[in-house]
Amino acid sequence: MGQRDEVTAALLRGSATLLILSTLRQGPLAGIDIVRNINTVAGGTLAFKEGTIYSALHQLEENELVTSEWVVADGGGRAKRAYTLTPKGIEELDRRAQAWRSVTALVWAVTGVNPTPKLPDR
Amino acid sequence: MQLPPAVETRFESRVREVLSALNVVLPPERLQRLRLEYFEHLAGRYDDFRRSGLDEAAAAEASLTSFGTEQMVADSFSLAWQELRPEGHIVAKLGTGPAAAIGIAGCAQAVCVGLLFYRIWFPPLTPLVRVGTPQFQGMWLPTIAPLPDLDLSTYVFWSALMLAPLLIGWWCGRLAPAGAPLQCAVGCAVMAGVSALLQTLTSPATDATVLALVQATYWIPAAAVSALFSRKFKLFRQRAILLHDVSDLPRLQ
Repeated sequence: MGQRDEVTAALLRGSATLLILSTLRQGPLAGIDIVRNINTVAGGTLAFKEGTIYSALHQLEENELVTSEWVVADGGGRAKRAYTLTPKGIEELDRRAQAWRSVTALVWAVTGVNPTPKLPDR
Repeated sequence: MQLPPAVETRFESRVREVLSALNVVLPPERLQRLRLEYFEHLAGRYDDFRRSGLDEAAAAEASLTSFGTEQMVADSFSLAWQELRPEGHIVAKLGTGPAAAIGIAGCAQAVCVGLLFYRIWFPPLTPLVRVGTPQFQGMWLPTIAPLPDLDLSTYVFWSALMLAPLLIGWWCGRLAPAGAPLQCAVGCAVMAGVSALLQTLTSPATDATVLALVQATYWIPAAAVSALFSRKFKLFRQRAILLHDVSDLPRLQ
């Protein structure tokens, strides 16, 4: 892992919950769908190990920020554990999003780095 | 997309390795759920990579690489799980095994010391005495309660003393990820030291010395052996779960 990747990973660790909760705002999603969604938005710029997302999901569930249940797609196939935001999770998402906005605004003000991300074309 | 048998075996192996690292930390139902989720994740990513044009071997490799190493995934889950427990911060500092050993041995010590103090300050057959008499004053100062005697509190005290290390070892063996026998032995040695210290406070009663001696000569080996058996039993039980064929994963239709 390069130095840039390490910095990205360190920043990502602190914002993993925000990313997951934000993704779940779309509706119930399995862990793999959350990963796909984040990867699609980030275009592969976020280097994280996908297996670690389940520790965050189980932790969120224990804290009652999400609930989960086994579901299966209409066409059948393997069951997936789908996670859904709870009202408490929505509150937490708003709280974290607000905190994130404050932090990025502060970092921008101090460093002069434009917070607008340059994401790859989709 | 149907997984080729070779790929399924590789995924099954990776999932099993992750769960093996977690199997002393998590309860069986949580392991079972994780097993299904991890496998489903790998299978789903394999489909993604196949659709993107990779061949079977490359898609399997890419799925496993993006999933993370067994140690990385297991560590992240183990840390998250510990943080959820009320005692998580202490556990995070000490480690699961030592925290469990000290905590459980400490509880056993508290029970034994409670019984000990009861025997010292409320010796058997203490008559009702009037305030201010020499007998009353004697009640609030340590008096010798010679062992053995035939009072009920003696039996309770000795029963607790004999059973405690077995319970300490059994419980620690279930909680500690590794090294439970040694951690139990250290925990009991610490408690023996506490009892020896207690002796200086309760002199001339000699019960705390008896407690310290029993802990040093009986608790330490008994707890270590009990932890060893407990761990072996737990691993044996969880191995039976993990050795299930992944092809048995439930399908909801």
